[in-house]
Amino acid sequence: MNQTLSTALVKTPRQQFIAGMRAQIPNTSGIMPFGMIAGAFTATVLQSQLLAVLYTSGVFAGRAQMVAMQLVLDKSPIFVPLAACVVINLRHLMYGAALSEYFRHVPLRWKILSAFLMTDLSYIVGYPHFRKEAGTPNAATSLWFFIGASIMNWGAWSTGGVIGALIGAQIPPSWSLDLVPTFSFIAALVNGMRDKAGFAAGAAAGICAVILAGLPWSMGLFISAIIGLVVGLFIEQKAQSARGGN
Amino acid sequence: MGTTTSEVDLVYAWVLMIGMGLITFALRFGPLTLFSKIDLPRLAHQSFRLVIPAVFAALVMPVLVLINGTPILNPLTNPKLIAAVVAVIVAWRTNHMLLTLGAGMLVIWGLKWVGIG
Repeated sequence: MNQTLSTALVKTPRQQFIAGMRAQIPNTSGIMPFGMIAGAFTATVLQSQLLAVLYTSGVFAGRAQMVAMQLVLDKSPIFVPLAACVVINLRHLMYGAALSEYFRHVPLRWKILSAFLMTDLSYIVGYPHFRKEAGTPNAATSLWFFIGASIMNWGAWSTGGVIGALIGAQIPPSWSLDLVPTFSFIAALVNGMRDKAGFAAGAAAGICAVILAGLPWSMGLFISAIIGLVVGLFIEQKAQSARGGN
Repeated sequence: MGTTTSEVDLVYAWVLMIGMGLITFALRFGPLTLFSKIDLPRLAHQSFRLVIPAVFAALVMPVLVLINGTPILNPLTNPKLIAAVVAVIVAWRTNHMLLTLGAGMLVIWGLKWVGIG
């Protein structure tokens, strides 16, 4: 690009922040109801609106929260939901690895804020923007696009969480709310199974999880996930060598 | 189920919340600072990509297939299977979390309303 032109158009942190918030708006229609469901489910399980709001806005990990609440319902010992939280949030290692090169010169306080706000949606909106502006004069401020997009996401999620926490206790058990986490995971699952290795990983883990469901403390979950990973990696390696890679 | 509301241990709930908050933050903050200094092996990147299908299949399948610990594959006695098939089709076509969730729950409620399940 023309150097003088892009220097003239260099964006301020404020402009980046607002643009990031705007870019996240379409996703709020999905994230707010999900926050509401998470808040309602948590308030029902823990019988506390305060705790439901703190879990939703403070822990800020919807899928892990849903699974943890299901495990609380199952009366699991505390290390089981904690371990599940580790396993479910492992995907953030991938996001962190991909984003880390854009955070090399970011001050610690903004790293802390960005890490707290990081979710699937902040990554999906923020990462392409970092890549697009890398090497341009705007790279110095593109962090604020990420933070803007992430704060919009947190705000929508938290608003949903508060509404859900307030109405949650009135939701009767016949509404089968306990199935909500299961169905909310199917989209991510199906998307992850679109290729051969992902399909193998999901199929192997799913079958093992049914067979191992009788193990105490939901240990079958972790064993099955690891078996799924190994099977998926094996298929991927085989596919790569078949394509002529070494 | 509605008559015997079980007591929830408040200490458990608070410790779990703080623990989950710390774990989640550590997993988000750690790589952001550490991975800029280390080159990860290719195998690690490949396994990260498979975490979601492996974990979510292990979470979802037992809930859908088992009733009181026994696999029930007859859709008339296990209507969750019908809802799951609809949800998978919606997920496949739209890749939209909320539409998938909505479709699955609507089928569950619809079948309950007509007397199945």
